[in-house]
Order: sequence, then C-alpha cells, then structure tokens
Amino acid sequence: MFGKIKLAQGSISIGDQIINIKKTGEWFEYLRGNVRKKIIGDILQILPAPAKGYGVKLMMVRLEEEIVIAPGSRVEGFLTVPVEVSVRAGEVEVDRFSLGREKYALYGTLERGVIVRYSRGSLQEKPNGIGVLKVRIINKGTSWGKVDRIVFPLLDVMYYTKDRAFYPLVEVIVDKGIEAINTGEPPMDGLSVVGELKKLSFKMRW
Amino acid sequence: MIKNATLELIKGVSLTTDSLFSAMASIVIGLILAEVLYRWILNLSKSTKYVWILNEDTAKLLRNFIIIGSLLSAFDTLGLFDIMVFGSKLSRVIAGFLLFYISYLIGKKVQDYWLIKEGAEAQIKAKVFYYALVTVGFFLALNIAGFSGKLTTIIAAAGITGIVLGFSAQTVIANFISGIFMYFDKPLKIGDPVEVGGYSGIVHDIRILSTRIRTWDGLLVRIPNEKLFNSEIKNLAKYPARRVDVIVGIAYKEDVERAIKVIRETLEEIPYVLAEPEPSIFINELGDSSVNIAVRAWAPSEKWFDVRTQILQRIKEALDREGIEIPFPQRVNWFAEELRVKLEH
Repeated sequence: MFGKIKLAQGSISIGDQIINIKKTGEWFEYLRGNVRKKIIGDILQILPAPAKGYGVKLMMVRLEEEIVIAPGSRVEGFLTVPVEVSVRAGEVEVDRFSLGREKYALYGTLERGVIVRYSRGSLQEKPNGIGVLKVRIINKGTSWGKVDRIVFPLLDVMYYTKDRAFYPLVEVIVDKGIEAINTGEPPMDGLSVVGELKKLSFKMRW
Repeated sequence: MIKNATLELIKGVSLTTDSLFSAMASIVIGLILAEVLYRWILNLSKSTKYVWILNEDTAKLLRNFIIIGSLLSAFDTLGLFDIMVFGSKLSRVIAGFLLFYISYLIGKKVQDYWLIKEGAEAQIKAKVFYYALVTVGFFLALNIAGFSGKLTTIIAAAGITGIVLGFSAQTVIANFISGIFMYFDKPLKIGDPVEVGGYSGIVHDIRILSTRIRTWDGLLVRIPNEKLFNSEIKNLAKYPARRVDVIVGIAYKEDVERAIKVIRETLEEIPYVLAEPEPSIFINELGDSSVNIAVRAWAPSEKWFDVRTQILQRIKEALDREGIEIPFPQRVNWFAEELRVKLEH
C-alpha cells in the first residue's frame, strides 16, 4: 500500500479509498472519486502524511479510558489515529486524502482556543489500524497524574511500513502540567521515513 | 605630454582636460560598480531567503541609480550643473530626488512582492516596511540634496502647515487619528469577515484614512476610519469557533427522541461540526404546526457558512430517509355556526 508503485491498469485499495488506474494511449488515468488526473510517466509514490486536514497544526486524541499514572512511572502504548495519504509523482502532490472519519474539535476556550484534528482512541499494547501513534507517558512529578486526552503538534515527518503509517513517537510528560513532545523519532525499528526530521514540544494548557 | 588645455564648449562653461578625465573616470567607475552590484545581487537572489528585497528588480533599480549618479557626478565635475537651487547645487538636488524616488520604487516593489507571495496577511508588514524605507529615503535625500542643515526650518514649516491643514481638514485628521486608535485597538484585521455600518464582507484593506470592505457580492465599500471607529463592529472570525443555530420542525405525530438521534448522527458525519464543544439538540418550542427542535453546533469560524448549509441539507435528507415528517404550517379553523356543505354533481 505505502511506498513506490509502478503504474499498471488496475485498482489500489487504501483503507476506505480505492484508486483506479487506467491505461489510455500514452498516459495513465488516475481516478479516485471525483479526482481525475492524467499521469505521463509510470511511477507514483503513496506516502503517509500527518492529518492536517484544512491546515490545523495539532491533533487531539480523546482517550476512551483515562490513564491514571503513579509518580515515577512510565507507560508505552499505541493509539489508532487518523492519517492522510499523499500520492506523489516525484515532488509533485497528485492527490491527498484522509483515511477514516475526518473530525475536528476546539481545544481550549472559545476566546483563546485552537481548532485541532480530533479522534478518540484507547491505549493498546500493539499497533492497530492504518494510522498509528505511539505514545510514551512518563510521570516525572511527585504525585499521581491523570491523562484524559493527548494533544500533540503535527510535524511533516512520518514513518511507514507497507501497511501502516506511524506518527513519530510522542512523549507525554506529566509533571506540574502536561507536556506533549513530538520527538520526531521513529516509534519502532525498521520503518521507512518521509519528511523533514524535527522535534516540537507542546504544553497542554487546558 | 598632455597639457591641461582649456576648452569652451558651451558659452560660459570651460572644460579642462583634467575635468574631462575626472568626468570620464566617474562614468566608467559608476558603470563598473553598477554592473558588479547588479550581478552580485542577481547571484545572491538565487540562493538567499531574502528574495523579497534581494531580487532582480532591486538590482536593476540600484544599477540605474548608480549609473545616473555617476553621470550627475560627471556633469558636476564638468561644471555643467553649477546652478544653485534653494542654496544647493542642482546635481545634489537631482541626486537627492533620485534617491528618494528609488527608495519609493523599492518599497513599492517589496510591498507588491509580499502581497503576492503571502497574501493579505502581509499587508501590515509590507506597509510598515514601505513607510520606513520611504521615510529613511526622504531624510537621506534631504542630506544628499544639502538641505539637512535646513531640516529644522523644514520641520517648523511642516508644523505650521500641519496646523493650518488641521483646521481646514478636521475630518481628515479625525479619520487619521481614528485609524491610529484602530491600529492599537485591533477590532478587525485584513482578511476578517465583518459586519459594520450596515455592510457585511471581508476587510480588504485598512488605510490611514479609511477601511475598505469587499462585500459578499463583490462590491467595494470605503468606510472612513472615524465612522468605523464609532460604529459597532461585528467581527465574524475573531474567535476560533462559531456556533451554527438551526431550528428543525417535525410533525407532532413523530417520535422526538428518534428525530434527535437522527440529527445527532447526521452532525457526527459532518467533518467540520466540532466534536468538542459537543453539539446540543433539544426541543425548543411546541409550535403551531410543529415540534421545533433547536440544533446548536460549533464550527471553525472560517467554515461557518459551509457548515450551516451542510447541516440544513443533510438534516433534511436524513429526516426524509427516516420518514420523519417536516410539516407545512397548519391551521385549524373553527366556525361559529355549523358549516353546511352542499355537494353538487
């Protein structure tokens, strides 16, 4: 699914989306829903992209079960989250679409909040679904902490295998407040990478 | 051996070979310098991130400025510009004017570049740069023209002129001051959707004296800043989220709970209906013809209009699909006396 593909007549299934490729004379026709493109050339890349939607910079994952963590403890797990797919010919983006349900939320107050990409999820031991976020929750404080949602900054870097897209590892530091750090690091070994490596920290004020 | 011969080309203007050589040297040096600077800026423009200032247009303007400056210097050496204007040499006055004009052109081009590249959001930054450059250019030009010693006189004259103008143009001053207050008060910024003074549209430009609004149907409305400052301004995108309020009427015979469930599921399917704050759906009124259900859903401010139209359309479709009736207005008429109906065949 993800990676470089040599175009040939047929269809490619990605999550709930289907890309149809038709060979017409000297070019290929790329068809997905209402999207129609003519491709002169025969190589495309299907790559994962952060779910920025219409241009948001943060994602909020509302946890189905709150996590209560003892001081000095740490836990790692996986969340199933929305992801976007960027179909590229070289550096040119041919198509971009969201996998799964697209939803947004207001994070913060009505006066000073910010619109974020929204999803709900439950911390699991193993990755599940196409879009995966690995989180490491560390309680560095001296008292018990509670995490009911994770809000983290979206970077351009993504990791992937043939079947799954991974966001970089996100560290959630529980201390006096909660800080989510998108480390930019791969969540697991043996993953391919796309995008520029960076690290970004976000203080969850609300 | 070359003698310093004297030559009279124009009546009253004598040229020596020394001055001729100096003039020619001035032109040659000017041309070389102009070309070197031009090529340097051009090369730099290919690799720098400051393309907004280091670009081909700036390179050309500076090259022309240096060429004209060297020509002026050459003419000056030859004594062709030995004419005094307001106590200063004509060549210096021209050079000063030229510098001011070049600053203006560079400022204008940088402003245009920013607006094309970064859109309306860069307007303030572009204007600040433009006015700063023009102001610096103005004072440098005064210096080059040799008027700097007379600066206090100019400022005093400007002050007096200002007072005179102030009395004769109170409205203009009021608009100007209101513009300054608005800058700090920031009730709106370029690109904001607003309702003001009976008009509704997008703020297209905020100028010193007036603010321009492009109405939704594409008209330009110029509102003097004084009027704007004293008006009630409704900024439709000041906050990140805005609520969509819709009333849906269903027939009295329908199951209200099921209708609310259908509406809630419909809202969940619309991406830009925010999951948090959650939409609220409740019976608002037992109306004359229908049970009126209020739907209050939050949307990103910039998507408000799209969300509203989608909500209306999708709720109608969902209720139709589920067979829930949206009734026409109904009226029950009671007659004081028994109504007799005569049927004719």
